[in-house]
Amino acid sequence: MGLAEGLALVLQPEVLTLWIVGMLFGIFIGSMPGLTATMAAAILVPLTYYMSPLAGLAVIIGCVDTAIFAGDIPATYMRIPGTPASGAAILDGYEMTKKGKPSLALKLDLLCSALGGVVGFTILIFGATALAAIALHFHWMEIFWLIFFGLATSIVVSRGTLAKGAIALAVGLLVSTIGIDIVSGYARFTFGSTELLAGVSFIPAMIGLFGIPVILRTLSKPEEIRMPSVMEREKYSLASAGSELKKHKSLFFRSSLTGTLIGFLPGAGADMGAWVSYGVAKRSSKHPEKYGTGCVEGVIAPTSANNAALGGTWIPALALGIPGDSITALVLGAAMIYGLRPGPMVFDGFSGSLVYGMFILALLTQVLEIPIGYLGIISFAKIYKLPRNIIMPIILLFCIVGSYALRFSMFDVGIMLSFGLMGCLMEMNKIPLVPVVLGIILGPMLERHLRTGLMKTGGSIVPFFTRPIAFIIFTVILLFVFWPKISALISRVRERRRIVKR
Amino acid sequence: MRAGDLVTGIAAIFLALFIFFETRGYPPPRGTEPGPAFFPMLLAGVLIIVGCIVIYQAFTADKGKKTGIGLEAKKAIMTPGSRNVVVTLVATIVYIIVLGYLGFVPATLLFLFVLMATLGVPILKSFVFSFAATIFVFYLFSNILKVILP
Repeated sequence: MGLAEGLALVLQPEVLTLWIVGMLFGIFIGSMPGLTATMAAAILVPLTYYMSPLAGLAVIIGCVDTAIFAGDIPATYMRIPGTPASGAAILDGYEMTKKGKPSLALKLDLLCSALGGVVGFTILIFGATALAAIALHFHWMEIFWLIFFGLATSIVVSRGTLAKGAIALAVGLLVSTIGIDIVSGYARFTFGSTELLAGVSFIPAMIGLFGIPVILRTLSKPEEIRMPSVMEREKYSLASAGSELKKHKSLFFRSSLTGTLIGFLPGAGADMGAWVSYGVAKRSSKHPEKYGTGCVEGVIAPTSANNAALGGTWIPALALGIPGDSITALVLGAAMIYGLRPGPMVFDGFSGSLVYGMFILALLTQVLEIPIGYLGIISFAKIYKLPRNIIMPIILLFCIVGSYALRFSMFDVGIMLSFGLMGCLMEMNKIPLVPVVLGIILGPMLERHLRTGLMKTGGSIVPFFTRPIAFIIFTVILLFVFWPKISALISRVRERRRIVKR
Repeated sequence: MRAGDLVTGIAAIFLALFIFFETRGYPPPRGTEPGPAFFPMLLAGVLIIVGCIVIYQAFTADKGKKTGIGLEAKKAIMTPGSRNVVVTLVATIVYIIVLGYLGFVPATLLFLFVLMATLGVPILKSFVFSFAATIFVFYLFSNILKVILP
């Protein structure tokens, strides 16, 4: 009933036109370093008040979903993630670009994003009510472990020792504590600065950490400075990317499923879905050493998961009113103005048709994303073929203006530069950058869930380990982090048994 | 011994000590609420433990090999491209400072032109690209995204 009504609402000329315009805008915004999907949604939300409910939502959903993919374009070409969800795409996507195969990385990325989104939203359409019931079982402690899982993944997937990754993560989490403490209202580590009261924004930090080292490293090689910014040694068509995907279809389905499952848990978003999926794929692979060197599997796992997770994030947002990430929060806010009522009755009445209309829009957006995303790849490939001594100053300008534009603050530009220099020092000492960024993003949520969880348990840490779901997640984290050591121990025991039998 | 790791480990421990020092005056826990110092102190504790591990690994890894402090850093500084890096950093800092005085368009035009020309782009090409990029960025941020530029 709800599905049919939703479909009828979507297939109107006004909705369709605005929807495609939104998608084109999403590709453009997502591809610009410094401009994020959240920013695009924030710009569009006030404009949509003049449109019909579904047309307004079509613009926002089309824009946001394509911007998530488009964020992978600068991530793959320049190692600057366009959106936080593109963070995991830099690992193998950028390495593939360094090998001269950016078109394979991006076309594979496009297919995985679109099809991963189809898997995510199909599960959402048919299993929304059942998944919402499961999501209700996750409380403070369970969500704490889940966030911890995402953070642990960032250490495991990064190249370098676990201890150095843990230092990077602790630094990121410490940066996240700067500013007014939401629980007590006390200003922490602000040193009298009014700008620091609002905390360190992760967008300038992310741009600086990933972008500045790449720019400086590129410019420090004068012999290569006149070469095209991105070298394409081998050209790949969408069909050849498709056949690569076909070879790894089980990994694709596993990653899409992981993304959806992570996405539907309250508090987790597309970025965490991508990281966890990458980590799980690496840990379960027969050749984990290939990950991070520019392998096809390393592109498939995070890119199929982040768009799949986008579907999942709607479950807690609709059933509990808890959006998984800032993008879902913006879209949910807009949908509520149009009459959507989050809660147990969300799937009933007008609210129900609106929800299913949104689901159908999102599902079809994934399909339309293939031609529109392809257009984006081709256009930006031309720009990135300009010589490095022209492109790098322009990228630097985008890093500066993109950091400023978030809060109209030159202080954020200073943050971006400081993190950039920190990134250079960290890279020189082989300390992974990824845990710092994930620490800044997930830090406030981790602290809030830990402290509120402790308040609920009367200050006891024991329930964090004894509640059934919390215990399962904790065990999975232990297995995940120490799997190489555990599997080595198992094979040693097996070997001994074999010797004893002989 | 890996000197870079040794420095990393020591820096982590110093950061942890700073956190302990800084959080001394924070409000104490209220009832079962652990208070604002709880999480940073927990992280400082983690930093001390992992800092010690990194120092231990610095001494045990690559036994017999001797490497100087910041060898990789030195390598990067000594490359012929170091001039480009210094010019880029100086130009960026000067640009950020003068942005408020000159206004977005003149400051950006000058910044891009100087940077491109210094990096070896022919003068005319530098001017064309810096002009086009400045106008594009100004139009995008100011007109489309409604950002109030300096």
